[in-house]
Amino acid sequence: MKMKPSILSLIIFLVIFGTVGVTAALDLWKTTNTKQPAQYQSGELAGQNNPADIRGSYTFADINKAFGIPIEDLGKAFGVKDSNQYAAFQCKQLETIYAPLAAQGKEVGTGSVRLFVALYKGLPIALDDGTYLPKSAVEILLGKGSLSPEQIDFIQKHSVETP
Amino acid sequence: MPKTKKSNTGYRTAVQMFFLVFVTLLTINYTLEKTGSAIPFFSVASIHAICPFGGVVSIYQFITTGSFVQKIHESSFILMFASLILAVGFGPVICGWVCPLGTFQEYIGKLGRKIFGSRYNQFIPQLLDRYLRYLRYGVLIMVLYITATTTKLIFQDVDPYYALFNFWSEEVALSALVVLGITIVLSFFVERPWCKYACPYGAVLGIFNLFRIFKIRRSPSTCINCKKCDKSCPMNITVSSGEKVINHQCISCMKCTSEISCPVAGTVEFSTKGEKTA
Ligand code: SF4
Repeated sequence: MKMKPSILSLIIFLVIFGTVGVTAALDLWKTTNTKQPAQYQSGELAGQNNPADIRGSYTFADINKAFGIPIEDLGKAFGVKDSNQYAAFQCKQLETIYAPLAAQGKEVGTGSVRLFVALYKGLPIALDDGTYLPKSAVEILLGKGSLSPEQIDFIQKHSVETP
Repeated sequence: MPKTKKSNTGYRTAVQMFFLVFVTLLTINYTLEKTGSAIPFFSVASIHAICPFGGVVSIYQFITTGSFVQKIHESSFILMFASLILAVGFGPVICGWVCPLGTFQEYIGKLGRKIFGSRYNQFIPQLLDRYLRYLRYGVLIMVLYITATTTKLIFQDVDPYYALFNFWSEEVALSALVVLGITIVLSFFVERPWCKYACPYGAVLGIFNLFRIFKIRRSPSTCINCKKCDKSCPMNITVSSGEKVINHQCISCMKCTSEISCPVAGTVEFSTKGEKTA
């Protein structure tokens, strides 16, 4: 069978837009995040939301919904100045607030929110040496009194002042 | 000698232009939406959401955790499958007909051809060029490995496609703008330099050239050895040297065929195995 440019053009449109149309009809076509983090797949935590999957586009309200952490705690922990902005504050905005520290290799960003949420909820998380928490977040976590000695040591050594 | 009417060149241009305009409008709309002034009745999606390569880099994470890499959504996966269906049938038509970065390079190349004439696209020594063409597989392996280990869309920081359609955004890394700049400059000398030497998605789709159903087939019995097919190939493939093109670099643009460049009807065809040429 020979293929002509005219037919190939049609096939390209049909395959691309046909696939989009069919998957949209089946409600599979999604171009934005559902703000629903992945869940632990196995073990005793299976079915629970995994903080390691928190994205930069998540607002503190999304995190509150997914993990039940009060929005107030999140806003205070990360030094968001205007309390009216707590709910709509996106994790990736932290990178702007804490940009001066990034140059020193101390990153406060979405990774820090993941760490904070995991420790707040007592969920497992890998302690990454480049991830830092604001002092206010460390105080909230220490106040909860449920951290292991290793975690306490880590967050105390990885705390920074809010600029 | 039966001559062909060269009326078929416009189809690919039309498809390319459609996707170039479509992707441009989509990305502008994505920016406008943030200020509450999006174009009415037009989709809002980030460039990542409509890039099938996002699906490829997410495969590992999807299998291991059931989630996508940062900034990638279900749509990237779906488009990855659509482009794989096309690749099994027709090779990398996504590269040759759809990818707006490919189109962009091609149009800069038209200026390069005006400046350098027949020397255009012939600057790199053949032997060196042959090895450089495998570079994109190195890029692919590196991108897949780093994405799997960091779960971040690390490629964004060097991706000229992202830089081209978001150069106004603060999210574009300087390194991506530099790669875009290099790609633009090289496009004046070499046709589709990013596709040839660095594109990791082109590398994935290029593998399908080895077993795709429709291939570029040449009939030696009617071929007059004018080499027009070779000269027309943007990827510098010597179409006239065999009976079919099995080359990981072919982008299925059909420029070499009797529909477009070859002066003898039915001599270079885009066809399935059973089809007799001329
Ligand atoms: S000119 Fe022919 S061989 Fe060259 S890329 Fe296009 S279809 Fe492939």
